[in-house]
Amino acid sequence: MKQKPFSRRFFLANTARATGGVITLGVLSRTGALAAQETTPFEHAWQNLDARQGRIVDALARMIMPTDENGPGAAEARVAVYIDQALGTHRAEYRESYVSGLAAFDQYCLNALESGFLNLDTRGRRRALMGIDRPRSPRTWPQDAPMGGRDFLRMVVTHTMEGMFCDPAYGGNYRQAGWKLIRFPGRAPFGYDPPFSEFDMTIPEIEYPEWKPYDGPMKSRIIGEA
Amino acid sequence: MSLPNPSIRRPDVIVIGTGAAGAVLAKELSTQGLKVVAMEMGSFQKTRHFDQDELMAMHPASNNHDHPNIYRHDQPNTYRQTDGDQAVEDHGIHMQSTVGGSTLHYTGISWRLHENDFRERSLFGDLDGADVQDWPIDYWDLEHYYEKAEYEIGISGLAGANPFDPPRRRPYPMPPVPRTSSGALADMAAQKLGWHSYPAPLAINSREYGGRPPVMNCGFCESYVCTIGARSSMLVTMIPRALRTGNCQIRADACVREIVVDEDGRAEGVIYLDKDLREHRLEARAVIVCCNGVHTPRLLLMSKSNLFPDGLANSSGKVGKHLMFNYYQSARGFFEKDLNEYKGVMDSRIIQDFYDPDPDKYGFFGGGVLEPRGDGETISFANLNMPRLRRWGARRKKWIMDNYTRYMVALTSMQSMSQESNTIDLDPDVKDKWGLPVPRVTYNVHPNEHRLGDFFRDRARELLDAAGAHGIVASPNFVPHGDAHLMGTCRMGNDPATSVVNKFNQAHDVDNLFIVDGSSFVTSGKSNPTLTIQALAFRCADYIITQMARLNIR
Repeated sequence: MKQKPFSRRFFLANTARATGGVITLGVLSRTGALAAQETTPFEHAWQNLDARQGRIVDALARMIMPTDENGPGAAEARVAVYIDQALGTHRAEYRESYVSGLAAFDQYCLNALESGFLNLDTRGRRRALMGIDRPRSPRTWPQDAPMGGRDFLRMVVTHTMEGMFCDPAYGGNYRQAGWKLIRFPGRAPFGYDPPFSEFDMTIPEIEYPEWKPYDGPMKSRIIGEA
Repeated sequence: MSLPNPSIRRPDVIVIGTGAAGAVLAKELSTQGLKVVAMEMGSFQKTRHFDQDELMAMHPASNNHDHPNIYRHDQPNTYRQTDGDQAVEDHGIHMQSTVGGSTLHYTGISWRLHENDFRERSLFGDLDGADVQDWPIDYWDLEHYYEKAEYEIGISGLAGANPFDPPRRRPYPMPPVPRTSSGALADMAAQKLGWHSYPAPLAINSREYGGRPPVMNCGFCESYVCTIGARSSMLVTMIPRALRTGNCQIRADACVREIVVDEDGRAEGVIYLDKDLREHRLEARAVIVCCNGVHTPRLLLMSKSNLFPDGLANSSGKVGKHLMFNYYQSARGFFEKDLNEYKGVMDSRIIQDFYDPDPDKYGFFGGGVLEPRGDGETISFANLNMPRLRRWGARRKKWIMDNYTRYMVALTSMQSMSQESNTIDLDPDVKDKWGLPVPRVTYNVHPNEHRLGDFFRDRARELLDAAGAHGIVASPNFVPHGDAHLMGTCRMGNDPATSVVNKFNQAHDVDNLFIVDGSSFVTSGKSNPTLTIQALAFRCADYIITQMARLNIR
């Protein structure tokens, strides 16, 4: 079963339709990294985050799973929509952590990079993430923040991957963008027939000796039988 | 099809728990004409209520454990490493609490214990710091009941393929299920290494059996409830057959908080809480506890009375002691071509070449098995901790894309040493949603486990290497906080001073109280206790029926 290779043209057209034309896609720089986005790429009324928090989450998710020459990322999968919705349902226990963590993160960006996260370009954003992706939070991370820098980042990373690869019913993995990226077909209500790969097709089955009933003394003890 | 679920007000027998053991006992006893009420603390779901949904199955919210699609309805527990530590809340104990129990989502590996497993003390001697004992029964006490479990429940496999298997009178009722890519690679590697890879005996249909369809290789296997009923879970095998007799009622959403005794110290019945926390009392001629190696001792310890001030059936003081899991180690390897392990069963091959090596030669006690496998979990894979690879960014994304279909895991599972200091008791502070004390796990590994772990981690690497994998990453030694294999906490023995139940799973202290589940295990075996639990249940049912007929049980 061959998957259709990812087509950038299809992807661009598709995204424009999906977003209702609200924003344009970022411009690919020479390095292939997507330039930082300012606007929310889809019409979404934020439910559990406010608009600014939502934009930071969206921007973080795009750094975690960037859109690049290899295919779509968090933007196309609508990871931020997933996180926003999940914070009102099955991830409600993390809502407070997002509110305080995002405030700490933005303050950290001001302290360390002299700019709020949203005002940084892609390179600046990458530096911001690198700065907290270490065992101990940097001195520029607010001391009174309830969680450390890396814990905050790991939380957003974990939920970004959920938003990339969850069932689309949860708002992320929009149009199975994440599943297509890794060639996972999703639910399989009718299953699959072997062979599953070249390996099980080509590696010969072991020939086992034919089974013969045990010819030693059968000593099975059955309760209720003498 | 709608099955009867009659209201039985005066049962002969109350079975507490509807998992691997409870469902077998409910079916066997109701078939013999006894009136049975089977109690289940969780809900009664149909297979169609479950879904192929990784997010809910594998990454549930900690506050949403009543969602029917969650496989780990982890009842809360606390954990501490030694009894001097303060226990903290933990989620290490894995169990499903809906009707059918953890058989709903288990891998389904169903092998028989070997003859040596029952007499390790005699064969290998003592081990410092551990309390290894022989079982009061041997393989031949269970052989008939293993066979009965294989045929009644529905196990697929290939008799004669594993040269280390104990003797058996009949082959498996079904041939093995299709081999997965990781199974094929395990075959190739084992042949190179001179090991013996064989088709995993699985509680999964390979052809229509018991009115249920064959496996469809959908890949949503372990941790998911089979949506077509091809997995021989209790919910689609023993439970409907028990209900069809008209002699069995399943009382779900009913949490037993105490087993009550009369003035002679015999079990009189149970007190349980319904969904709305209303208390009810139900009496019977005999009570059977099948709540697993954690919740069985907890219930006994909650059942205090004048006659049993330290908990029911606990005159030995051994209830809750000798907690065992199966220690495990694994390595993950990557390949140049697709395996597509999101297709097929979790585990299609097993290797038992190191099942019980000579302690003098190998420098450790006990042994283990290799269970090469794969899974199709996307979110878990994307979040994997990998050396020298950040969790985020373009390189992580490329790595996920390149490797999701191209890895397998060499899981190795091994023996845990029985230690009296590893225990379940009642947490003094934390309560569950019924207002009852949660089980407190106190567990530390024996140094022998780390020796086993080192040995089997090397075997896992060796297997992957021989299979042609690159980038092999192995797990470090660790101290488990819990597991899905829960054993040892009401151990079986001939001496009432050192064990809780006799060789028929009957409590030494209370003759109409039976305890059937992993808690009766004297040693842990190497992995996969379920078929042995089921065989013990079939055997105990025979014993109860003969005793009832002889009026030894009123």
